[in-house]
Amino acid sequence: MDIEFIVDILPRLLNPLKVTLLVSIISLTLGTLLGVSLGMIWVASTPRSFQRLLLNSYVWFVRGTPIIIQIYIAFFLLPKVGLNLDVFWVGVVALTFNSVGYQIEIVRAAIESINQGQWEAAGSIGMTQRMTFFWIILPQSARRMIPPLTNELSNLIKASSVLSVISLFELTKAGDAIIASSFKFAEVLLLLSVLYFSLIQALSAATKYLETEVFNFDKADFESGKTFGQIY
Amino acid sequence: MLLLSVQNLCKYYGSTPALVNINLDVHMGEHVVLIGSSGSGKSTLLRCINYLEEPDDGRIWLDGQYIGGHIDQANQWVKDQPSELAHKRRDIGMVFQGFHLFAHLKIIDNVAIGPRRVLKKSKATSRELARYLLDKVHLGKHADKYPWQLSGGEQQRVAIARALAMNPKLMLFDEPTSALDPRLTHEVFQVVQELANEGITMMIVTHEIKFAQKIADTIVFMEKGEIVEVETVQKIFSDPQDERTQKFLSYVL
Repeated sequence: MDIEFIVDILPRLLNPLKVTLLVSIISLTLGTLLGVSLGMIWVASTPRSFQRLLLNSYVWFVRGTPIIIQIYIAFFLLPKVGLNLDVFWVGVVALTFNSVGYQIEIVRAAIESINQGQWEAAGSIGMTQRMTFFWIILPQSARRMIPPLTNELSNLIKASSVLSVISLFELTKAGDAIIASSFKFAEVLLLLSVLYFSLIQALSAATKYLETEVFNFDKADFESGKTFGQIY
Repeated sequence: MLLLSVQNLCKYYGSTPALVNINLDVHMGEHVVLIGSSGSGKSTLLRCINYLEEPDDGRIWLDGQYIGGHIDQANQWVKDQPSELAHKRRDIGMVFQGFHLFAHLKIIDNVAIGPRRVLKKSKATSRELARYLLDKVHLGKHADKYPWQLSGGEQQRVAIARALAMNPKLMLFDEPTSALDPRLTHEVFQVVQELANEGITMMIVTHEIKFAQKIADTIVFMEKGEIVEVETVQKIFSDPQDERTQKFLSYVL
């Protein structure tokens, strides 16, 4: 193992690391905005309605096809419809498209996990459904979305490595280039793993903080019924 | 003066009747307690009055208007839009068996959110009102805690304050103490009694007969989705007319 070599190439991977981080975070953020909106539409729609069928088909497609195919579709299809984006933004579109599929499910599950009594109590003080959703249900669901969204973020960071197939110069692609010129597989792969690992650990710690310190209202997970078990 | 009039109310769950042709009048300042065994339709009646459950037939009239709809010029029944129904619901306060405090809000904001978001009052005014009401239910010192930090009895008193914040014409209590031990039950009933003394109109579903005797003007006994007997509290406990009422009271007295 050539430690000196690893120290040597580290600076050359910092920029690609930034690309990996950016493409994942932007995709997660866009994915959350769209995922929450579409998840709300899912929850508000009736079973067997057109909206729900459409959203379900979307979720099934994303879940049922490999991400590499989704990336190629974005890469070849976007120029066909007149969108000649920079490869970075093609990557964002592909990852966002993928992530929304999973996030619709995350949002739906989080909203449906909120006790029906919260809707009833809000209705009884004269709140409309819309007000109830924004003031009561969404803030409580948000906290429950954080752990699965952390999962999703780590998935996205790792999935972004597949963007090397459309020659986005992110971490994996940069590593590939160094391997091609130096043939030092072990050192490069070790370093890549450590970098991915550290990135994901750091972001997980951040979301854990968000979950326990910022959304710190239901440590006892009050409305899920655990409080009853503890007191009575 | 008549405040609430339930007219020919019917509710079915599938083909099972939950409420059969209910007629009931409640006057301003009256305290009505609904008793009867579980599944007799007491809770369903309360939930229909503020349209948490939509009745299948019949009308709810509250202080000059129908809940859930209105009669147009052509004498036709027109269902309320969701926003109209939400508006009418402000007049009816509801206290639930399971408290259902808003888990993400501090106690003060649980009470203030109605005036703030529904009545669009300023943050300062809403919080001032909330503080006043929390003092009234003896919880002023817990204003800045979260619901999970409170006992069940305290949570239920917050729920009462939350309902009062909308200044409702009618308060509905749906088994408010069924999840509480005797000491916490006492705390909650004390508050309900104080409100009753102030002349707030209320309907209470409860299995606590002693409390019912103390607070009620009128007792409604229900069985199998029907109102069997409506009587003054003195009369029904000393001289129940219907055989079914006699039998039920023989279990609890």
